[in-house]
Amino acid sequence: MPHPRQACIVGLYVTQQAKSLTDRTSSDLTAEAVLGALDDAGLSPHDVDGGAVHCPWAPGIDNGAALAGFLGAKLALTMNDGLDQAGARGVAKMAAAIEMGLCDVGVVGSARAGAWSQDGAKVGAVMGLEFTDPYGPSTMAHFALVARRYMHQYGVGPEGFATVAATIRNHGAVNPEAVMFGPKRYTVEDVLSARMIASPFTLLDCCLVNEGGCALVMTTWERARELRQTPVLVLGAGMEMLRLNYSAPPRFEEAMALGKDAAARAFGRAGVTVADVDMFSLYDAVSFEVLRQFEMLGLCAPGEGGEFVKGGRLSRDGDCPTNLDGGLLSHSWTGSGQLTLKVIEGVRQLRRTCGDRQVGDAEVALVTNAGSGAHHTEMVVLGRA
Amino acid sequence: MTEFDPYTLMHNPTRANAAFWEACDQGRLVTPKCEACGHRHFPPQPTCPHCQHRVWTWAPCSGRATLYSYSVIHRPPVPGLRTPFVFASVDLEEGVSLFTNIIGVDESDLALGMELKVVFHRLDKGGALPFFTAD
Repeated sequence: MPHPRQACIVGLYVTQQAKSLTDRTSSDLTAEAVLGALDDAGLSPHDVDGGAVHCPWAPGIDNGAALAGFLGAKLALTMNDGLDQAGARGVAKMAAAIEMGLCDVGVVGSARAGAWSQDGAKVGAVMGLEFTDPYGPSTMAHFALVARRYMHQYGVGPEGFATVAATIRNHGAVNPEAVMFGPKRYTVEDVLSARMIASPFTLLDCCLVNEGGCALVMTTWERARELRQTPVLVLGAGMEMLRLNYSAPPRFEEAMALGKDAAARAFGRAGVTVADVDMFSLYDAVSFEVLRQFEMLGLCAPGEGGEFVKGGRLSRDGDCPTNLDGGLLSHSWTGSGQLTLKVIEGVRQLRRTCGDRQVGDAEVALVTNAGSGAHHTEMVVLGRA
Repeated sequence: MTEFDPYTLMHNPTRANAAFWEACDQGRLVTPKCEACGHRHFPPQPTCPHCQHRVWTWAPCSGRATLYSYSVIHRPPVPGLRTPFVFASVDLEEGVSLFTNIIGVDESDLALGMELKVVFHRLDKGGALPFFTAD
């Protein structure tokens, strides 16, 4: 029996995800997602006392306390940084807050659309980093520096990256919620021959940039067991930060190892090992990052990720079902909300509501955020109650 | 006829690091060097990352480096920037690494570990950026 204050995920909601949602705003979508997630949980807006929600009030005014006004609920906790309001990091911190009693019902969520979408979704170079911006990198280019070094170190080509990209894009192609849902199927050759973006990455190695919102609701086990959904437990979590993101070149050894300490912490608390994971929801801003994480997690030897990802291993019936919703490459990328979508896919798999992409009898899911080019990572281990 | 200079958007030197950019303008590359332990670091921060001493000075570099990694960028990050160009990380002889662009080297000739030397790219709006080319 879990501890009475064990943090659980009890509600979720995903708005429409699309290339552009021209008649929506970030705040409007966030409100839809938060209210929808509370409804999914069977809770009322007045039950909420913890917010890690990105709810811009107006351009330039962005304070999580605004959620209290949106919900008509007095809050006991807010988190205000964009990365604290999404994904594994948001869920990890909200879980800690719930377990220590800072709040009882917390919401994590964000959205991106329309005129108020200035939330880090820039494709380009201007991040405000004095010794990075002038050289014109995209986010993809930072990850490309690690991937290029990887190819040099192990004498391999980009085929392994392309295998990841084709596999995950084919997962998204059959997910009706995915931005890239449709008849197109991808081969390794399609990925390799696509337009180059930041070598060695082609267009199809790189994630989407689109609009949409999502949210999830968390509470204590004590309360979760009375609610309508199968509770999903946050069994463990870990984070790792090396330096200010994108401020200095990634070094190969530390980039490849990024996440080992976080994984040890997360799995240690969860009382399970990576071998127990039934479903992986891995950060895939770029195809290479998935392969890197399998090496970091110790599921294959250094340099063997490209072989490891072949042969259907990442598909529903493979040993390591990965990003079956299509991930950031095909489902959605929305600035920060895509990090929450990774958790949501884990929760849906553990609720066993995923239809055709359901991993049978899924008990444990691993969800990761960010990665090597970004100099930080976060992860949570989720378990079915 | 004046063309839009993309570096107007990309290059925003701060007053805190004026000494670095003034040196570039004069054709010299400098990095922070710790007064206590002598280690270099980059980019500049308030403490030495090796010994946490709070005093360092801008010290000259030879301008020699090796190529650590690179990416050829085909999608322009800001309007008006000519692509493709080579975004790279290089290891200075003095033991620190920095972001830069590689110029004057064909993509097929780029090789990790190749020897490079600094060249200063003068900007329309004034100032100069340290780029690297084959030594």
